[in-house]
Amino acid sequence: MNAAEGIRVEEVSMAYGSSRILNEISLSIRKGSVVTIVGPNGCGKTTLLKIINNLLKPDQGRVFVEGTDVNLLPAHRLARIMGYVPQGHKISFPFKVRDVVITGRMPYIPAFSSPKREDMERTEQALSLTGISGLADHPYSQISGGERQLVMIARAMAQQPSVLLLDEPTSYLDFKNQILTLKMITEISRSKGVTVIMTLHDPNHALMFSDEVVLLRKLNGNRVGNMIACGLPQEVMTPQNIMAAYGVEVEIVDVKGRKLLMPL
Amino acid sequence: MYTGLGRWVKLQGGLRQSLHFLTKRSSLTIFALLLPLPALLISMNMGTYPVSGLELAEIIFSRLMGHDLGLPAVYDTVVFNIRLPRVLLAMLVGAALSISGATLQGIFRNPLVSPFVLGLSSGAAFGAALAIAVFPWMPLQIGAFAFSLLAVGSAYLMARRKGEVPVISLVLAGVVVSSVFGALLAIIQFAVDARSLQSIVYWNMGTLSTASWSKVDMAAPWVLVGCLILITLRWRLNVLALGEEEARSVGMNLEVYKFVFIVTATLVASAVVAVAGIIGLVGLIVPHMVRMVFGPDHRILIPLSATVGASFLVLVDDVARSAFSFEVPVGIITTLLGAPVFIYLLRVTRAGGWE
Ligand SMILES: Nc1ncnc2c1ncn2[C@@H]1O[C@H](COP(=O)(O)OP(=O)(O)O)[C@@H](O)[C@H]1O
Ligand SMILES: [Mg+2]
Repeated sequence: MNAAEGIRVEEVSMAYGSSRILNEISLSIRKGSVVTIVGPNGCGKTTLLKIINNLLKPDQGRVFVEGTDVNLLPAHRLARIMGYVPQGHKISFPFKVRDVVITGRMPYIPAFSSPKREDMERTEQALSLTGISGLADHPYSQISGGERQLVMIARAMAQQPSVLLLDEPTSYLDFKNQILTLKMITEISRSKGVTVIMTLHDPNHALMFSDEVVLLRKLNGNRVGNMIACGLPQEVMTPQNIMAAYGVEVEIVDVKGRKLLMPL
Repeated sequence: MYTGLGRWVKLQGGLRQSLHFLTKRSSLTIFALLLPLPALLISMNMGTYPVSGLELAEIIFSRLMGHDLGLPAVYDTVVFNIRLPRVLLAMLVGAALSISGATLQGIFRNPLVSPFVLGLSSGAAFGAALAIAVFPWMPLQIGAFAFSLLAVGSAYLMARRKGEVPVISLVLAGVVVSSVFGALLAIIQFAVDARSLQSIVYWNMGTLSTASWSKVDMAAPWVLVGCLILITLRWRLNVLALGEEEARSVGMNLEVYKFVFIVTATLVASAVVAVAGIIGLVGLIVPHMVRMVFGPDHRILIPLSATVGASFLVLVDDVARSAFSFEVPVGIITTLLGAPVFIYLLRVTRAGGWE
């Protein structure tokens, strides 16, 4: 095992009932890098992310985090290493933003105990890291979808993880907030050395914000593998690969030295 | 030895921090926490023989110390053997139903859940009917307690699949179990004579008029230990209330905690239903009222549900025993009083901020 390897996915396969969603996916993700998982709706991005977080058990294959099988780590140990930001989260009670974020301290709080001073300090740090200190006393149910996304990122960061998983962090955001959030996520990765794995639905975002891209396609019955390519963004996001994943014809355009995908 | 000592020191630190946490709260919180004291004094004073706080202290003191203070014997009997157990039982029942309701609402992430959602009350009613009409040798409280646990236990097992108990399955299983025990109860009601039927119906209304020291003794250990467990674990209800996947992703051993919370909430509520019958709406309304005023944070909600619940029921019981020339079963009053309060709070707080 390579010391710089943060996450390794080994031949993971997964089916819901009889329909196979993931087929022998293998990945090696470098510590501190930003990796995006891209592909059409229903191709298994969320499923893969949950398998990495051990929220779902794959039918076959294993996931290692910093050399240890996630299945063998006690839940609280895994939660100190990995934070997970679900897609579009809702809650039934009007908790204050601060009370939501502090639940990220769960893996550090012994049974029969409540958050202590250190947990409160870490919570405030996480709130300021994501720029939502001003929202700390607002009810979670009365802030915008974009702000909720930031709250859930802060909650994950309160876990002090070395790996941050995000499921479509831009899906409920407007144009500006999509960019701001993605910039913030990459900035967190750079400044804290956190490995980021996120799913995105916009291939251009993947081109702009990731060190590596994993491109998936839908596994329609008989295909052998559903990972089309994995590697540097420019090498993965070619017109041929995009065609294979989405069935959409695109052209690569050069804008001030940056490559972007343009549907034809 | 050393680790034990270390743990003890840590516990002390934790206690100090909890106290610190309390002192930071507003005076309204302190008031709600201490509410049972004035409620107790007021309730002891209600009735044919008014007893002031001082007299109450004297009577209890003389009982404890064995002195004779020269008070009329009737005072002593009324206060110590009739009124005090009734007031204490009302408080235990109110605290138990409320803390149980608050806990289950958190686990189910649904503010409309009550302690009776998993079939507890139907099981208890069937057990009580069985004891009244079919097996007269069985103490009524034991029958009600055993069958309420059986009902919740079977709902839990029915909902369980591959070691997981999804809350939606639990609710559905609770509905099924309730209907089954309802049908079984109907069979008994159909078959028994009029006197037994009357007892069954009366038991179902929930009453505190049969309070006694032995009932207090039966319920108190369950309620006190259960409240202690729920209060020490209460912050974890915040984690659970955000959603199951969210709880698991921060490392919570979800099924273990769900089990502990459901078992504790059930035991606490079953213990009081067994001695007081089915007193409706307390377990639903009190947590709501507390949440609407103090917010949904279970660190505050859980202890305050217990204290406000205790005060609420003892005061309602004062009404039940003194407002009319005859005594009304307290369960009827909690429902009739609770419903408008509930609707009012729901409207002024715009449903308390739920989605
Ligand atoms: N719990 C489940 N049970 C059955 N099918 C599921 C379940 N979760 C997801 N699926 C199906 O698996 C496929 C992949 O889902 P998902 O991983 O959410 O895809 P993506 O995130 O890429 O849109 C979809 O077709 C979805 O309908
Ligand atoms: Mg998805």
